[in-house]
Amino acid sequence: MTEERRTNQEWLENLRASGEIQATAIQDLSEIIRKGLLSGLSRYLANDPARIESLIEEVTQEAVLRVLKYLDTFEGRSQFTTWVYKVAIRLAFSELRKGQWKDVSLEENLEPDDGEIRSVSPNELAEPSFSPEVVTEQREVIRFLWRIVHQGLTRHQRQAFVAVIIRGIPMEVVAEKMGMQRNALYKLLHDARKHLKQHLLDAGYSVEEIFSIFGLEQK
Amino acid sequence: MMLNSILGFLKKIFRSPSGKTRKQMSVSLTEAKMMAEMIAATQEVELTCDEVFDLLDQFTELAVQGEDVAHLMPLVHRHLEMCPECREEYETLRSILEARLN
Repeated sequence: MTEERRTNQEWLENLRASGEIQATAIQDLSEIIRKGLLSGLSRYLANDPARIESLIEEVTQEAVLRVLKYLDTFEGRSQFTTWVYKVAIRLAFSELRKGQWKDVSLEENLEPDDGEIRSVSPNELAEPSFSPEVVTEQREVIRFLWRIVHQGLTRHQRQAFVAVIIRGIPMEVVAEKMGMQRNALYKLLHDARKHLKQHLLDAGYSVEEIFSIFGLEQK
Repeated sequence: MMLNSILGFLKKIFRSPSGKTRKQMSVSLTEAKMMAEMIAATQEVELTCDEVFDLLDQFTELAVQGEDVAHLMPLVHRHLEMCPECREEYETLRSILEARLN
């Protein structure tokens, strides 16, 4: 039976069955995951065909196991295969991100310095789109925020904030380093962002003003 | 002897709490922009990555069908704007679903 001919209900029944019915369903599902990952991840691993092959194989096996384990949690709000892709994609990116950052020391990024922030980078200050007045305002906002980062955030919040929001290290990587789940790290960062935003508002800045000072487009 | 004691005392009181030499940290304009944007765009209530993950299949199918997902599922939409990891996963899922349509 091919993917197109199975309804969500049939997928669930076939995967919960035993013997040949289940084996065929697992085989079909594995093939669907492999093809999907190949199509979705090719742009991330275009230069490394050997890696893509091993990653896809590894993730496909893990995804099938996870799907079987959590089959009862599928609520039917999407196509079953979309739900399966979602599971496989998360597993794949988890592997990819950890692989990309495995040789990078996170210690520096997890230990922000106690000193005052120096400035925005001198080269970037030469960006012609900002007038000297705006650059001064940017510096003031950054210094203000930096003071709150150091004085108003907990050590955990500060570490996470610097690593993820300033240095751009994936949350998954930082979460592992900090011994927590990605979800818990998001909550930690959300609390930190709320705290910083409140300080900005209390200091008389408006959200519109911040977007304008940094030339950002408000979504 | 006295001079060493004074120098020791001065070193002690001017040392950072961790005992390490203080370094200054610089932030590039790009990093500063990112920080400002993330803070200014923060909402009181935001979905977490796990909550978004639970809804991502439904959200992506609606997006591929051309529905106005920003209006239909605003909290998921907002999270995807704030979280690069979830956005990356969403874009990949979307690209797979779109490839299957073609």
